[in-house]
Amino acid sequence: MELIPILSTIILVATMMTFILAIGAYILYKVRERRGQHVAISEPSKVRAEIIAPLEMPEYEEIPAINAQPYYQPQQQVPFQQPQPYYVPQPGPAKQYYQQPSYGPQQQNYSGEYIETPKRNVVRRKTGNTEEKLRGNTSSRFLKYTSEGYVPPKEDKNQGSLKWR
Amino acid sequence: MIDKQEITKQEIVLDNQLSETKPPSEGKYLRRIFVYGALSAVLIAIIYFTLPKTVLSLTSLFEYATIVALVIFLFVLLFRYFSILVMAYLYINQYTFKNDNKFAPFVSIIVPVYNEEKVVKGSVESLLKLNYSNYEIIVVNDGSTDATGAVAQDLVGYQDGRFGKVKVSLINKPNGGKSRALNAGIKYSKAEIVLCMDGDSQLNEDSLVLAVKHFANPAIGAVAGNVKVMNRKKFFTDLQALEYIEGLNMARSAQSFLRLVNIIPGPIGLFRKQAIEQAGLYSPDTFAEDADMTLKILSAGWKIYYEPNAISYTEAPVTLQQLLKQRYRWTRGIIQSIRKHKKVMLNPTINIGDTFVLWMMFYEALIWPVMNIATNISFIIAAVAFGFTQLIFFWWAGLALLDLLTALYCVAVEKEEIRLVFYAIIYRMFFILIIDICKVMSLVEEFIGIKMTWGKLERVGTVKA
Repeated sequence: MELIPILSTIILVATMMTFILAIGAYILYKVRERRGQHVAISEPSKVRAEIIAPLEMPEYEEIPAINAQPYYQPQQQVPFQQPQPYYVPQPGPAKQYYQQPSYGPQQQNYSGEYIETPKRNVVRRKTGNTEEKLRGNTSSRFLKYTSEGYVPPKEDKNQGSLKWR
Repeated sequence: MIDKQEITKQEIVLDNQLSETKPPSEGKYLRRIFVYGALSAVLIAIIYFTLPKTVLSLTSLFEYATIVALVIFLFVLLFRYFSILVMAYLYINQYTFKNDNKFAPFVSIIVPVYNEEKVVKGSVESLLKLNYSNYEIIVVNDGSTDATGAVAQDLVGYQDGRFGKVKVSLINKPNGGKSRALNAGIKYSKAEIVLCMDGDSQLNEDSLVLAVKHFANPAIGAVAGNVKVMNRKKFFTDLQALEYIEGLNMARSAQSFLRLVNIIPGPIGLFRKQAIEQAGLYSPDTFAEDADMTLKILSAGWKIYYEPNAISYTEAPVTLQQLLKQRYRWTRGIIQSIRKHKKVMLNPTINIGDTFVLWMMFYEALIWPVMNIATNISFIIAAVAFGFTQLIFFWWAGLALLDLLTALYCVAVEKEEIRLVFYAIIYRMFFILIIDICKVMSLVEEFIGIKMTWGKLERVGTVKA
């Protein structure tokens, strides 16, 4: 007897049986499902829930956000270089620029040494402070403004008493 | 390993987010049955009265129709197979040459549980072994009626992870379904990325680190993981293991080539919180909340990627009854999602990617199962009524050979068990036929609007730490 007709018959029967099995199982499932069905209850728009969480522990918050070991490769240490200013000073008579550290991407290669930021030499107007100092030294309430700043007025003995014009 | 620590309890109010769509009324079902029944009767009457006026007899009409249907079916089958294989191959190649980055943002892992007392501890303990340092675990107890809440509460605290302490929190809420449980966890999370999974699933150690790196691309809104069957060495679970490898994961690789993954699986899905909030969180109005969420993220303009090495092991249904219950829910859920997004489906100008995905889902969920069943029925009729018994053998042999080669390729790509390849011989004629019959039944029920409830699979507790 040939093999193909036998196999064909087996497959045919198997396919038919699968159909019957699937439909039967489905009907059975539906019957069971119907038995266990509950009445639908209307649901509220808001529900109360409870959050249970551990107390905050600061030491655990300091875990560095690094990647897992096999995937984390430490950054190669780059020798320290003096940061270059973004602005290159141009010779000019009136303005003077201070060399500022750059905040660009190359900054992440620093080895960690602390560098003091250069401070601006601020030239303050002498008005307020000088005025107060001088006021403290002199008994006069009034100061005379000259090209050298505020100075206590010298008493003009020749003038005598104040005259109104 | 897990020790008790000081905990705080805080009561909150959650938005229960009622269903957005109302189920059709009973009168509407009857009207639908009547309308479509009448249309079918009219079609049969037209054939019956016009046939004598043509050269065809009823038998020859059936024969021609069967031949045309089979040719179409075979063409679609081959086109589907080869397009998936080619795109999956291109994706795997593209993936292999990609560089790793060190993007490691803070991640919240949300574990919704409902009556999972046997597996919840194992699930959380497996999460503590993840190869990632910057994450927390949020267990959401969705009104369990067993000891799940108590078991989960014992896990709350700062637990020993692989790279330090991992915060484990618990949210106890009244039962409201998986979507609401996930929403509660997402709202509580402060992380940029959230990983949503099932309570009975287990992630492999590198899942998180491998999946998270894709979020370095700001266009990626979500990453789908690779789901594998954990409880093997049983007839039905082995067949499902093959199905997951050959049917689901290979298709997902092909979809990922186009950055249009159509379903982010429930056991492992990572989302950018911004994308999930933009999509309006999970909706409880479908039974496939993962499919619905995926469609919403795609329609918001985000891309979705698939990470084949982010593996989640899940418990597959062991019996035929449980399998049917699961597939019934999946199919009806997918159809509900398609119906919900039908505007996008019919109007490609809104989002062409989303339209393409919806049509693919429509084809996989509706057209393909109907075609497969119709083909098998026509073979049975051809063999029984017309004596063409050998036809069914050649048909089976051709498909079995195709399945065997595809299974071999998929098993090799995923470095899976080689013994699963042999299940390909009965895969299409037995397993897929059962699944497709279930799909068609679900389709009919969804179409006429029969009410359904969430089915809860009985867990045997395969998940171990």
